[in-house]
Amino acid sequence: MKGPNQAGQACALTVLTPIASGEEPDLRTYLEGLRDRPDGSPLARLGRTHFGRWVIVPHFVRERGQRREDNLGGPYLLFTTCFDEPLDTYLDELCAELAPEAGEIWGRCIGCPADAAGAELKRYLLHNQIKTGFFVAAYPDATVATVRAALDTRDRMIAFALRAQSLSPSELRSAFAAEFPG
Amino acid sequence: MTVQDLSAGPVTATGTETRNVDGQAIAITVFSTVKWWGRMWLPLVFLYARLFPGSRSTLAKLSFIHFARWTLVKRIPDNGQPKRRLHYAHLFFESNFNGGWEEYIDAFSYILTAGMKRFWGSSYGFPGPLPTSPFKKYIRRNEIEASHFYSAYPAATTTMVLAALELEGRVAPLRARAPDMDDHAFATVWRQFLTEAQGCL
Repeated sequence: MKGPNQAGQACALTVLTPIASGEEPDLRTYLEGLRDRPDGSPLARLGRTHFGRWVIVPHFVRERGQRREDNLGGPYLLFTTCFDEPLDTYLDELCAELAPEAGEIWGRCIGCPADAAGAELKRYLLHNQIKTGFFVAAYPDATVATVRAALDTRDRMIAFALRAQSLSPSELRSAFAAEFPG
Repeated sequence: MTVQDLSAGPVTATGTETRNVDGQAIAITVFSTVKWWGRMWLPLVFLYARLFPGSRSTLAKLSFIHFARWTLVKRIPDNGQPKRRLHYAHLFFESNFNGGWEEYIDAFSYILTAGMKRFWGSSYGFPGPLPTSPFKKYIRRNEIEASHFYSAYPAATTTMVLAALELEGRVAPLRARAPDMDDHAFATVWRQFLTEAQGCL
C-alpha cells in the first residue's frame, strides 16, 4: 500500500505557512496577478504538476455548536499540488524553477529563509508539509506527459476519423501511416 | 460507420469564482471544524478508504473528479509565529474537477450520501448531504477562493482524459500492425477499430 500522500504514481503535497504581519494584501495581489502574466502560471514550468493552487486562509469559520472560535492569529498560505512521483526530486525542481517567484510568495511568510530557493526553501516547505489523510486520483498511473500525449492522440484521431470517411482504402492506409507512424 | 464531430467540448466550468477556474477545471477548497471525536474517527475513515479500494468504487462513479484529498489538520507547524495551537482539528478538503459547482455538490450528495456522512459527520455545522440546499450553504460558508489555480491540461475534462488514455492503448496495436497489412485488410481493421473505440472519441 502506498502512503497517504500517494495514489498510484500520483502524489499530493499540502503546505501551510503563516503569512507575516502586514504582508497578506501584497501577497494576494501578487498571486492573483500570476494568471495574467504573458508566460502563464509559474506552475507550468514544473512539468510534473497536474494541478496546483495557492489559497490564502484568512481564518476558520465558526459554526453553530462550536463553543469558541479557532483564531489562527493571522492569515496562512496554503499551497497544494498533485504531481508525478517522487516528492524529493519534485521539490528540487520546484525550488529551482520557482526561484524567481518564491521570494514574492513564501518570502512573505514567517520562517522562510532569506534566500527563498534551493535546499533552504525545500527544508522550509517540508517543515510545513501537512500529511494527507486520503488522496484519490481518477487516473493514478498516468503522468502529466502521458496524459498530454494521450489527449493529443485523441484530438488527432478525431480529426483523422472525420477525414477518413472520404478516403479510398489505399488512401486510408497511407494517410494513417503518415498520421500515426508505427 | 459515420463519425460525427463531437469535439466542440463539454459545458464550461460554472458556478464558482473566476479564480477557482482554469479552463474546464474547477478548484474547491474547504476547511471545516471537527468535533472532539472526529480526531479519532477521521483517521479511521481515511485508513479504511485506503485499505479497501472497493470502498472507493462509489467515488469512482463521480466521473468529473481528476484528483481529491481529505486531510485532518490537528496542529500547525511551528515557525515561531505568535499563535500556533489549535483548539480544534480541522478537516481540509480539496477537489480538482470539471463541470458546474452546483452539479458537483448535487452529485456528491446524491451518489456519495453515506460517504459524505462518514467524512463530514464529525464537523460542526454539517447539515447532512440531503437535502442539498443547506449543504450547499454550508460548503459556501466554509469554502475559500483560490488566489491562483493551475491545470496542466485545462481544456480536458476527466472523461476526456480517461477516454484518451484508453484510446492510446487501442491505437498502439493498430499502429504496429498497419505496415504489414494490404489496403483492404487495413480498411476492414480500421472499421472494426472505429466501432470498438468510438466511445473514446
